[in-house]
Amino acid sequence: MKRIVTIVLAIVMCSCHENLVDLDIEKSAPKLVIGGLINSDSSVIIKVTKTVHALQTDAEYGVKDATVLLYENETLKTQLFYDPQITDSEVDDVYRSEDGFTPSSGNVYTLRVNAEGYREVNASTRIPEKIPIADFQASSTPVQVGEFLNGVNAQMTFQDAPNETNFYSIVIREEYKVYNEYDEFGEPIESKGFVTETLSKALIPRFDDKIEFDGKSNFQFNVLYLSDIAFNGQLYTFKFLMHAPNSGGKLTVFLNHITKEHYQYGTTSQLQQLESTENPFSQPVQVYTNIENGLGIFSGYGASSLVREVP
Amino acid sequence: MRGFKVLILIFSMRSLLLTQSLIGQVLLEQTLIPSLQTGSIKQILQSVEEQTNITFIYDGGKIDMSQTVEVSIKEYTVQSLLDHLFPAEEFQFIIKGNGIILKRRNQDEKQENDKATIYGYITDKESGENLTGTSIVDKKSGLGAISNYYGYYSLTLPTGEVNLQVSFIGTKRQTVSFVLVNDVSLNVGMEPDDVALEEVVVTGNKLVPIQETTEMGTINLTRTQIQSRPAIGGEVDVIKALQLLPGVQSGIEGSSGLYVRGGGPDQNLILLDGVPVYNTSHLFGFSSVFNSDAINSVKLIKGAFPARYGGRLSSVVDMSMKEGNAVQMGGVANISFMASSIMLEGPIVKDKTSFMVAARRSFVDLLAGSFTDNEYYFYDLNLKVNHRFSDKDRVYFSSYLGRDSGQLNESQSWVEGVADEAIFSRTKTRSEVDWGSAISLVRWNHLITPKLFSNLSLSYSTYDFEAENNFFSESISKNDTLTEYQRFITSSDIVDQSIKLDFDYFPHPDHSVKFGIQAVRHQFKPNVVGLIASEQPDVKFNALNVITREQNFYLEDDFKVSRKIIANLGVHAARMQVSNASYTSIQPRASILYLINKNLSLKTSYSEMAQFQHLLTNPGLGLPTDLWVPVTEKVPPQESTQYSLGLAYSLPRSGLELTLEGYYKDMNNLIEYKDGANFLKLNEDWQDKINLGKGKSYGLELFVSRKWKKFEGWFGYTLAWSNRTFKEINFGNSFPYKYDRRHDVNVVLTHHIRKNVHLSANWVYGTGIAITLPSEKYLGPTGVIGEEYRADPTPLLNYESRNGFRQRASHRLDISASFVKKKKRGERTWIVTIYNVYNRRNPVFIETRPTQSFDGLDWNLRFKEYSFLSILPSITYRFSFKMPLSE
Repeated sequence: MKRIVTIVLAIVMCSCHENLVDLDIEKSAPKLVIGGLINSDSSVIIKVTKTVHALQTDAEYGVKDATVLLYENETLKTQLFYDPQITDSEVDDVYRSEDGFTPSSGNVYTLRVNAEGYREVNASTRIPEKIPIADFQASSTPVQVGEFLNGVNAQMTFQDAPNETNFYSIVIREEYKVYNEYDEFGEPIESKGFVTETLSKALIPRFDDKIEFDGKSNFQFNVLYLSDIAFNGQLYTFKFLMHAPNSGGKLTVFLNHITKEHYQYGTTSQLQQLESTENPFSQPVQVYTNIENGLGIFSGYGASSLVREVP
Repeated sequence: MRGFKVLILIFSMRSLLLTQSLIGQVLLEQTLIPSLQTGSIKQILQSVEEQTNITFIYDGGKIDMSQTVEVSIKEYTVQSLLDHLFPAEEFQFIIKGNGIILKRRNQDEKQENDKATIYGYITDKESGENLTGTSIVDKKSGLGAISNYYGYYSLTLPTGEVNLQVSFIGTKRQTVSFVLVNDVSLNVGMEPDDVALEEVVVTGNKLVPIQETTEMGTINLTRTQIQSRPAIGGEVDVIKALQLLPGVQSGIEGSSGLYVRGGGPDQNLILLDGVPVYNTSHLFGFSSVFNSDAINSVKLIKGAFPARYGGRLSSVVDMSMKEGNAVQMGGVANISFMASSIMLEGPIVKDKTSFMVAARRSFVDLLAGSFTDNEYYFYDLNLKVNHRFSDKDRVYFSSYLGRDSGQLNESQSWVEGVADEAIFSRTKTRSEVDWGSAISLVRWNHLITPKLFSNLSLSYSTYDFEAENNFFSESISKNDTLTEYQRFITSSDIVDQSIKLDFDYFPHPDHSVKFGIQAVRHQFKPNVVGLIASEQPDVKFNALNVITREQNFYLEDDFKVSRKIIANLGVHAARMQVSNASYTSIQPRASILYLINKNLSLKTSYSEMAQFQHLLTNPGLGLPTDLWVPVTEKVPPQESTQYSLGLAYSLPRSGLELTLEGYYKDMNNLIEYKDGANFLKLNEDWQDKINLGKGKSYGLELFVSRKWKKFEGWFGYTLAWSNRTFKEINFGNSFPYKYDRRHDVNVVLTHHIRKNVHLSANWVYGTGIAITLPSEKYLGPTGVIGEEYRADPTPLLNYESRNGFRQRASHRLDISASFVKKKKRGERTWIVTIYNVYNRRNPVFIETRPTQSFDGLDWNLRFKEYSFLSILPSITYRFSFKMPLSE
């Protein structure tokens, strides 16, 4: 179909003109951006960054001097301090609680962040209950998906809570053996590699998800979001496609019970990245946020996991 | 006419006004010498008429005029002759002016206040074509009628003297006087007015002053007006002429889309001879499918929809094809930058059967054929034949066929290796796109009674689109040949079959009633996708037909409530059945005017509309890939409610007309693609790609037209707002519609420098269209991986609001000059056109994607603005001819 577009463009080419323009996009005051996904099994880590003008190059996003306060049921519980996580390629501008505060299910948590030159942002969330994984299976027979990747069919079974709309994210992490180095005798040294599997389902965000893999989608992302509209309250087996793991490795499967806000944020941000490279005629995707006066996401989740050996 | 013989008196304005000097006994006492002594009563009376200025008026169905009589006397008076032929106990004579009315006593004796109906067709005397919208007014009683779509009128008046004035735009006014006794058929042929023919000012309704008609938001355009406008590449375009009217937006620069009063491109009921046309574009929207030489007239309705129209929310564009000259053969040929065309018309049986055939084809592919493997062309064909069986029965056959076809070819070949190990490889890719419409229509006009006119229509129409991508590769080595092919096809089509019965009922000059019923069967194949490839089974998605059945009924009455108040009240009822769902819609319509004084009226209207089809259109362009889809169990019909209030003012002597109208429109169940969804994802169910929402538009339209000496033209200004609200778009907040243009200005001028040289110019201005652009970028987490927090390096873009930015305003000046010359065999015209005279780079769309490279850490965004159609001069040659009239 892209050729149709090409034909259109060819026809008007004789009178076509393109022009790089600096549109009058008002340089609005930068906003604080929150990346805060919290659960009851780990201490709180909040990422605080800022927005930059869309056309700015070599942008610096980090915010180092923010005051980050976390409230539990409207009572201040902890303050988080700038504690960047530095890797080879980047600096992750995260804030951590000095006392290692860990949230618990059933409470409402409110985050307030202040920084000089920015409007105060805040957001509230709760920690959903964990939903145990009853079963997980991955086929060892590869199937061809799209033009490039080999995949395998997989399925995960879990009991959905009745009478409420629940949202989930699924992540699969593969631990495999790598032999990149050799000992003094020339024997390979076994070490561990990690990869997060890419997963697939219908990728358009919607609340009436087609939850069976239908053969139409390609591998795209390593987080897979779904809602329970089609299986509310059921013991449900979710079938999907994943990138074929290496044999002899180990798969850790995560089922995260997430909030609706997280689901909306996750699906829209995935879609924006997908569409931004695919089609100039599609409407741009607006990414959801639950941060008042800012952007990003602050949301709780309940994480369950299961480990499987790869034969 | 059998069994009902009437005397029809038709007089022209100058010659046929009867002298009123001889009356009463003077008339009866005239002495005559019989020129005929034996013959029928009719022949005897005709001999009297030849000797005197007396006219006998009688009903041939009630008095036997064929009876043979003998007149033996040598000299007699009119009185004595009548006494001899018509015994006094059986007959009576009534004298009216020079007329003597013969009536049978004790049978059908009517009082002076009895009424009779004058009815018939108004035609163009030169071409024999019916004239819609002709005004027929009895100057004596002040009562009048307007000819309907087929040129038929019916006017019931008190018996006695009538003085009819018949007028139609661009023709000489006709006056017909006679004594009305019984129902009488009066067909009037209108002669062209050489003075008015050159050009006519656009008007709401020129014949009935705009302040005296209940029509609101309605504008008629004639073929002359359409063809006088400067056009892209010199190719005259009906739709682009409509875009010059207030309340009508064009979409992107140069396109033939219509966005009326904040509505979408699917919300226009575009009728060709009464049949809806789904696809109106050639050349991917840059030209419309309507050949202006084949079109007779165009009516645009933006509000105050009469009940007879239904099925779309925002406008009706009612186009009628030329019927074909019933008097003499003729035609027109055009060659423009874009296409060439020819139209031929003429009688098959003079005054009984005529035809019109018009053909048009683009020819860029023919010229460029030797330079490139790629090609593109469009063509269309219009045909109309009509036959008049009698004054009571007439049959029309109309047909349209149009197609666009484009093809892109690419091929590559290369050799790897040498000598025996060499492998020769080649690939070929061919992409094709092809779409078109076909319409066939048969209509039967039948006069049931002089007051009841009927029309039965049977129509069959199709629209289909197909795109195909073929890939072939071959590798040839010394020992082996490997081939691979892949063919990807996507198509959609619609087939409509319709039967419709319309009635025009004229019970009284103050009432004009229309009612009718219609049944339509729609067959949709909205999105068929097929894949044929080597070494795998053929695949086909969505190949099922969706059948929907639609029924419509309407009733409307345009009537005079009092001397100052006229109303058009009606109701349109529609029902649609699809699968297990059915939708019923009752749509009241009302339009009322109050005449403040003879030049000024206040008008108001209310319209409810429903639409059973949606158009899945991509947001940037109007392409044939736009999918027409029916309502379904999941997707209900679109609905709208529109209120209008306005003033209409005209000064006929100065040629000035002015309308000022405000409107407010609510729309429900509109569809939009979901964020990120688009027409390229063909293998997904369209119902899963859409959101349902609401729309609201309101605004003010000013329209001033004037004809002044050698100048004429109009000025249109629109101040408008149009918003949309979808639960799942823009986080549920209202956002501006893409074509929400705050200000829209149209200035249209024509200057007749000489009788054979005309200059035309259009200047248009529109606020920039609304677009969605990112204002900021930021980092965000992409998800949760167990206990691990992971940041994704790819920044997200923050689109603050859907359509939150504006492109630059668009404006443009187009001019044309026409040079007309009479030639031996016809008339030739050279038309020189310059589109976009001052070369304004009007923005068409802005690409917001990364234009440089994505380095893995950040977007390098640039906004690239595209403009089409810079200054574009063109020359058109036009030749029209008429064959000499044969005896």
